[in-house]
Amino acid sequence: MKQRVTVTVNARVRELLVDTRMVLADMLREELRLTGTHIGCGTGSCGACTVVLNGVTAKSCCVLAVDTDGDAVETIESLSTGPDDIHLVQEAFIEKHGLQCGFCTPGMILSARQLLADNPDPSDAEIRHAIVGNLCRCTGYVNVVTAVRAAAEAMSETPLDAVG
Amino acid sequence: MGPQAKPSLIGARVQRTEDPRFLRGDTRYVGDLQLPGMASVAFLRSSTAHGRILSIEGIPEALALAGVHRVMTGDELAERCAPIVVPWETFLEYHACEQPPIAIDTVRFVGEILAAVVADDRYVAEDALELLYADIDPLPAVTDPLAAMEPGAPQLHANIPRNTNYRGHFANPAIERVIEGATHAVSMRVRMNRHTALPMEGLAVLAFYDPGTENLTLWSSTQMPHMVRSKLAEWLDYPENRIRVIAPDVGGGFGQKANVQPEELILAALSLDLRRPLKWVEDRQESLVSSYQAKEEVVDCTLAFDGSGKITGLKARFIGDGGAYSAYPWSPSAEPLMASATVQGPYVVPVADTEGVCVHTSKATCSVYRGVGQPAGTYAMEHTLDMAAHAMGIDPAELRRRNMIGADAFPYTTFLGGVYDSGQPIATMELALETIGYGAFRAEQAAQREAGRFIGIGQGSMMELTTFGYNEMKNIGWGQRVSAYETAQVTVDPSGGVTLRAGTQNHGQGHETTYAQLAASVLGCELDRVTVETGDTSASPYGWGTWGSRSAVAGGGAILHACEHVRDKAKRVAAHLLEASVQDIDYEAGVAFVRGTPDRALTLADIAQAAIVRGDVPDEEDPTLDEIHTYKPPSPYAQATHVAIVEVDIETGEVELLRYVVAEDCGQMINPTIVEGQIHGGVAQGIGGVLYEHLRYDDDGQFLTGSLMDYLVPTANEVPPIEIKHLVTRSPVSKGGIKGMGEGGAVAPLAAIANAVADALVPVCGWQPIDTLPITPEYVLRHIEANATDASDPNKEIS
Amino acid sequence: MITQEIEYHAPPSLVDVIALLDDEDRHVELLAGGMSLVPTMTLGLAHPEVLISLKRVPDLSYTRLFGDDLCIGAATTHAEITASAEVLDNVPVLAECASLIGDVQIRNRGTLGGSLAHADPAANYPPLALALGASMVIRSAAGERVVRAADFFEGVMQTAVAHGDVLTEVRIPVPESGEGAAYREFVRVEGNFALVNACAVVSSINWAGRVALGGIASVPVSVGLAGLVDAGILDTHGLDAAVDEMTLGAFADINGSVEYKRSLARTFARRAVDAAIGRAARTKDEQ
Repeated sequence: MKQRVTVTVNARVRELLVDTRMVLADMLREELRLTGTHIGCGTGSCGACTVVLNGVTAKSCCVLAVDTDGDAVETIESLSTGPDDIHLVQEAFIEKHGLQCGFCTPGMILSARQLLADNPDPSDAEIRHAIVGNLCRCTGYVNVVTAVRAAAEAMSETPLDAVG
Repeated sequence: MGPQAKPSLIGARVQRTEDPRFLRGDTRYVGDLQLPGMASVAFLRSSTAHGRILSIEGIPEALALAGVHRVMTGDELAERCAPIVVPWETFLEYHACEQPPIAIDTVRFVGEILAAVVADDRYVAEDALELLYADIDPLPAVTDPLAAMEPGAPQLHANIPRNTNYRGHFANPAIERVIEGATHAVSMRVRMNRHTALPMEGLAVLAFYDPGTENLTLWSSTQMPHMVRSKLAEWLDYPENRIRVIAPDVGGGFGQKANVQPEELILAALSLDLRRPLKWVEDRQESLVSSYQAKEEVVDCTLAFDGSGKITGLKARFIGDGGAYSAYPWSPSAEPLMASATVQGPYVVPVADTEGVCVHTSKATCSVYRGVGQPAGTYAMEHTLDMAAHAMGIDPAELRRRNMIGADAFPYTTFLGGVYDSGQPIATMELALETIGYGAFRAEQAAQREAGRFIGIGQGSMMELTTFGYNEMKNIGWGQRVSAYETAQVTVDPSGGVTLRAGTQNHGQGHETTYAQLAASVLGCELDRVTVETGDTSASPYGWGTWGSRSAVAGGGAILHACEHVRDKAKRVAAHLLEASVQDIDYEAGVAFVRGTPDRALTLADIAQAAIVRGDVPDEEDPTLDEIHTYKPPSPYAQATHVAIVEVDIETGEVELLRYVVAEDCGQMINPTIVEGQIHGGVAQGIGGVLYEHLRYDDDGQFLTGSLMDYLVPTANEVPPIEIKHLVTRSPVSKGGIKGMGEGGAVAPLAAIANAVADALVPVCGWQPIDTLPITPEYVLRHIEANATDASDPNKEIS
Repeated sequence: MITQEIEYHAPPSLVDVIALLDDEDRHVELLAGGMSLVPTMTLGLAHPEVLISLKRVPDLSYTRLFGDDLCIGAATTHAEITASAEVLDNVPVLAECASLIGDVQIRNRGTLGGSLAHADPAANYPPLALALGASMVIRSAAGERVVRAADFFEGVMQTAVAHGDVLTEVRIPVPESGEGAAYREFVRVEGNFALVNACAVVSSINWAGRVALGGIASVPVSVGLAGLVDAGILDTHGLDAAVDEMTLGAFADINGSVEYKRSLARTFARRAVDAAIGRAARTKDEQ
């Protein structure tokens, strides 16, 4: 069964005909070819599929595509336009070696960005609490936490309008 | 002095050059790939652990569904594809089973593939699966390795008596006398839990047979593309030079992807049949139930001591639960074999008798996972040492001091005749103890105890067998299948840019950066002038992939050699161009110059232009800057001591990690930041293995942990900050003094944390061995209940 | 992936929702945040044929005081509850409880009503609802009815929300002055379901109160604290005995044996009550 949806994805209005069984993660990946959103478990446990849905992070494997009609979705691809355009949080992950295989990384970045938007100066414990929904099998989270802290520091030194 | 010398990039904390594409989501994992006309594959998997397959029903109905192209059963696949088999003649007591990639006649674990469906997309394929039904006549299952060895146990493979596929006994008849004559002897048995690597990206395969060229291309999320190509060629009986295997970006592997997968064979066979691209992306439920699992063992260990606390003898036996089949190329015996071969650790052991046994059971097949047997071997030695320390009234660190191999005793020959090339175990341990504040800890522990808190400290010291060198692989017998050399090709292009090609396969380790660091150091060029190509059998020289902590030593060694050849060639060409003797040419910072006259100089780009474009080289030279080198690596040993401080909540049994320190020595580091990242990740997986992760089956072989809600993986909240200290003892046997280290982080945490838990519980129930992993909260409470005596009643002591 | 074919509706009003629910032949489910329902469907453990999304129904997401109650719209997310001034000022234990559900992403989308109607025995809200004496407002074609928490939970994933019903609002009596409440849970890894959870409320005026436990039986269970707390001191042996009695129906699962879960029940009942006593005492001190 297919149904029509209108979804704003990365600031672009998209009209799509989607299978009612399809989850948002599959719609982004298969229909829109936005493959930066990964699927690591399909049951909302790992967070690799994290996107920003109507302004807050959500696990796109647990949202039906058809149920996003009229909604706004931002994916990892919205954070930078090309090789030279990179978000402060992404910059900090490079600097602090906050990624290895990279599979969890897009979701991790979006969770970190939401945390820093809500709480610009988080403690390490708050950082850890904020990324509990993003499993990583490579880093032991050690450098992820360091990177988020570094991003917070970088942001505090950067004018707000430049952060985006 | 010539052009300004640049500091070597070997050992530098260089930021990873590959990171931006991962951060932007501009990566290409297999699941991201699409080809025109691509169809989707889904598998019917068994829900019966052991039984006779009477029939697969519903095939006509499934085929009648719009968009379904093919349903393939085991019998049909058998016409195209030979069964997976792992021959291995080295050990007399070894029996190879056969695994048809799709089961024929008999099913042997829940999750085994019974049929494959090809359809336009995954939805249609899944709809077709709903129409299929496997009629299976159940047979008794056996899920316990000890029970499986008993006479009369259900027999899983007709050619494997008592389900025992491997027995390797490194026997020393003197051991019984040593134990009898010991001043102290302690023994323990532990059951290690079955768990799994769980890379965040599961398996994924895209197979494409091009009828025009008759080439078969297989993209796979694998750690070893060449080995996959060779086995596809052999088992599908298809010309190897018409097969190309590509591992694009790979989202973690940790050993699970260092095996030829049944799904790779099935998709390749189906693509050859249907002449179109086919894709399968494993979902997490499939990953948990059917992908190679690991590390389930029953371990017995006895240590004997003389009156001064010196080890006089070690006896250990490791019975590995191998599950249903054998994974190529390791077979499940890799786990108990490695445990029995590495249990000695960094200690002087005059007499050792160790044995590894591997048993088939009605569970998913076990293969290799980060550390392979070394966590079990380290656990056996380190936990038994703590047991002995408490029995003898010697501080556990002091007992280790008395028994560790001194730095001056290297190279040191192990009980098996292997050679520890170098190291300083005592200094490493002291550094770890000093970092965590071991001296002050006991006072702190006593104070916390007064406040009703139970904290404990524990350590795990280890030697890490790395690289699995050329000769060592021959000695073990694995060399019959995996000779484990590594080849690198270094090509300078006319602009002076450098391309490295290697047969190792990055899946998160940062090879694009570390390999470039090696080349840039030797060739003196900027890091961004080096490109690294791996993971494509058409681009890289034949190689063995990335596993066994081998890429830095084996791949890195090959690259260093090849780059040196290029540098030497550049010097010869420069001598020719500068009309100087080659003995008078120096090469620094990417510039060849005449010694003493630095203005008579040529850059690598100048030399490349002259050689490649103009052919301006000595007559006896080829006009290229392109060198290939094959390196037969050694097996250098890294070493480390991990120390954990835990708190145990004796009401709930919960274990909380308060601190975690690693002091390690992996020789010359290429990039300390990446080394530390590897340790962090390894420790986190070790924490998962010892406290949380457990693949569980009931007695009938039904699988109980089918999702991440039931299979518990540490989150950021369960992994503490990990403090790392480095010592550097360069390996005298490897190129560049490098030692491997990718697995070590995962080797010692089990022992360190279990030792800390046992230490924390001393006031509650005395020191008792932690004999079942993982250390669940319920286990802790039962452990306390089983061992608490009146004298150690916690409530008494509190009041 | 989800293999079951689905007919999907997103009606604009509660009246339309209720009309669509009137389908005797097919398995109809309401879809709110989907944080439980969608993964359950992905795992093949739920097979609804018709999904009715509440996303377009207005006025189901709010927190407001009405009379003696804090009223919360069923579609209010856990994150909204955690951040709500009305909740923090009046029933802070609810924010404490909501803040421990799953993880950030799940709290951003999962809803109070969705969780309560799903009634997973290990979910966070059931013992809280029981301890605080919450009421659930249920609408159907027949009108509106209010069901007390004690009557709401009927079994594993079974509640008073019957065929044709929509849970629209949860009402929690605002604690009287001198009352303290606390929520405590035991999880193996953060974000996972609790093995056992407990919510306690205690009055520092008369030291009466109640403690409720989840995760231990098919429905949350509770016991009054009368006689178990005296002048701010908990009779732990008395509470243990009371908990033992009410956890006779405990079931074993992959997370633990009956014996272990009952021991956790004793521990967490005690910890929740102790924390509630502490808060109640502080409330008293502040007056």
